Amino acid sequence: MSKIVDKSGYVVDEKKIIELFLELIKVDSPSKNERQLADLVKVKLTELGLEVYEDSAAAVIKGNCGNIIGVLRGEKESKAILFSAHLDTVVSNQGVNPLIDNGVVKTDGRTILGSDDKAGITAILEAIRMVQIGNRPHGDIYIVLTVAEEIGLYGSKNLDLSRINVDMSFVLDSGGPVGTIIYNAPTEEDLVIKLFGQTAHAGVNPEAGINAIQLAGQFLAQMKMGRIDDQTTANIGLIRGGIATNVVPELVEMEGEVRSTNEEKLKNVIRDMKSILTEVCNKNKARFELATNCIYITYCLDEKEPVMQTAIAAVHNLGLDSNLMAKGGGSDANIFNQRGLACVNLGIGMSGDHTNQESISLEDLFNAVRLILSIIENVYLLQDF
Amino acid sequence: MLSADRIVDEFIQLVTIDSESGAERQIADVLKSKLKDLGLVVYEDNAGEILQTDTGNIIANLPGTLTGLPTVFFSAHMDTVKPGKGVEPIVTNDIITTKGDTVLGGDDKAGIVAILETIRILKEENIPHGDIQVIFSVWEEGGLKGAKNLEFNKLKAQFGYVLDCDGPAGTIITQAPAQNSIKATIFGKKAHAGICPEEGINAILVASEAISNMQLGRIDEQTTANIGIINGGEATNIVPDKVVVEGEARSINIEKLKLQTDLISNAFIKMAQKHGTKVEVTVENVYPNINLKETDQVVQIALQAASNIDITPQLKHTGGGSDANIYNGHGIPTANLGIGMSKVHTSDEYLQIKDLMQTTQYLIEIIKIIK
Repeated sequence: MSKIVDKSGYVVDEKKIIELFLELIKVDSPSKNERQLADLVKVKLTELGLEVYEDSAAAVIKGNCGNIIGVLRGEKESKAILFSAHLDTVVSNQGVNPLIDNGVVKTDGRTILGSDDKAGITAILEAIRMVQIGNRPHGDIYIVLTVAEEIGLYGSKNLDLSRINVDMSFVLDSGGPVGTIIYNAPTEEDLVIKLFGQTAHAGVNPEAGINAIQLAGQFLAQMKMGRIDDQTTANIGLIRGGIATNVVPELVEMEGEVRSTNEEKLKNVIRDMKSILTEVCNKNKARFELATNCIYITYCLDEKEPVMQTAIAAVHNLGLDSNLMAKGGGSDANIFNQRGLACVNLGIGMSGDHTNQESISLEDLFNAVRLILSIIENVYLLQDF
Repeated sequence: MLSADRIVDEFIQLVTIDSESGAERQIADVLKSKLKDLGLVVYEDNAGEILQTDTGNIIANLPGTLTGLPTVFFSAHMDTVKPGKGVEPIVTNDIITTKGDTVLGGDDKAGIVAILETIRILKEENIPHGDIQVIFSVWEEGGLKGAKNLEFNKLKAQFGYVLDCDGPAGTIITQAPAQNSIKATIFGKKAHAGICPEEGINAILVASEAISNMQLGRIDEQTTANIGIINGGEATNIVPDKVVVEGEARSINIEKLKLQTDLISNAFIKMAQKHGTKVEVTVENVYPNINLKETDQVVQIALQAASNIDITPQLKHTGGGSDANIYNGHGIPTANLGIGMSKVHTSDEYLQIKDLMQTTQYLIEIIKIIK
């Protein structure tokens, strides 16, 4: 291993970090409406001395904002690295009322907090500021802030990679305390299932009808749902069907998803669903349509890969425990890996994400800044890697 | 004399007045005026205030030329289903249809016209009769709301006839089901579907298990059951914590109705218990049943009248509800009569002129034989 330049533990400006975090979460940025936050962040990145530009993803995804890329040029001999977080929140948090209680930032329960993923943005901006004012040595650093992550990773899917040349990428978008390293995440296929029966007047001649709701019920009662095994989950999350109580319902639509870190298992789940649907429909002279849409593909990084080695070493440098985990959700890291960038997702301590009980501990927020500095330092020191 | 031209003209006039449910003001005013001109004392009840529309049921009294006869009433509804605006009726030989996408409105303006023409003929031909009441109700379609909110203290008749059924004149509905509507809200527990679904309870799954084994459709000759609407969940990546299911049960037999309704409710309750979650079930009686016997006066008169004018009487039961259910529920024996309306509630709705004529003839005969 290499010599560590500063073993004192990265003293961070706690007050500035809290201020910045609160500032960012108060700029509402639901998916496809990240404009205001992006403009604010662009100014900050520019003031920090980065070349800043916005790609043309907005038009493709029909939002009001593209992905924001900032480049901090460094020493050519060093590996180039990328840090990423997403600008959007899962829903609007208009009127957010953040409270700090016992070292934990939370809301008053009426909105989400927005630490997913503004804690990541905060950590990135603060770390870069410390690099600049401390004149810390570094290679090329790319900052990528994506849009529309929560609704399907659309920003990263449409990110213009033409001007990005990096050797390792780090996404800051996972729960779990700093030290958590997501080396494995699943493939997700979203499903839309339509079941067609036959309409009839429910009081006068129901025998001429085929009840699509009952058939959907028979299918759902037989399919494997929830946690299927430690690698695989399936969910039907939405259902709507029928038009009136006095009409035998002709159409039911269901929406769901299947996730697995094992492609074969995922295919099997979908195959089983199709076979149950076929059986139910054949027995009842009904028919179905099942459409799948791959949202992101699984990745699995070996511990020996440079990006993993770097992340693990950086965590240990801070005196923290590393915790290598497989996560049940997807992130921009899936897309970066899919598109050829070796990328890992790092825990930054957010908890209760997507709910009004979302919170993050200040300790994790500060550690996230430290972790980025530690990664930058580690990469710089591994020039002969 | 029964004149096809006059009947058809009046029918055309009425179907071209827009009167979708809850918007019957214009047609009500036209009908009130016609009834007054025919010598009836016309009253509009307060159903309009209760229903927050601007129109109540019309209850009109034609004093009898004879005393000592039982009072009879005739009823039809003024509203049509959607789409009912801008009806363009076309008369081709004996058939009245529509251009375009609207219904015709034979349901139920054929009934209204038959009643008006009957009264006209009574007067023109000086046919003796007892007291007659005419009811033109509002908002029948989709809930029988007019009849449910009728001022029943204004209804003096001992028995009556609703004119709101398909089938030719001579079709007499003596049995119809009571209907319960059932609404179940099944709760679950949210969880992230990818990360920790095992911490959730999938409400859609609970509802599905309940529904999958239910006895639905035609249960027996007298009984039907349906689950008609389902709606639940928030997002594909969240284990859904709420589903709403709506259905109904109908039976001519009150005990069977209760049994069927309980089976459906209990299926949801049982499944919720099995999964350790909550459910709320509400049951509402939508309308009572009709169970007339052949020997009842209202049926006997209808049978006799049919025989007198050589039309074939058919005693039938229907699977649906009409204003007749409500009148019977208030203790006034009421039969629903066929008026020849066809393919109702569709843009293919049509009516044969001969059915309009025959229905009128039939009503006149019914009145003639009331003693």
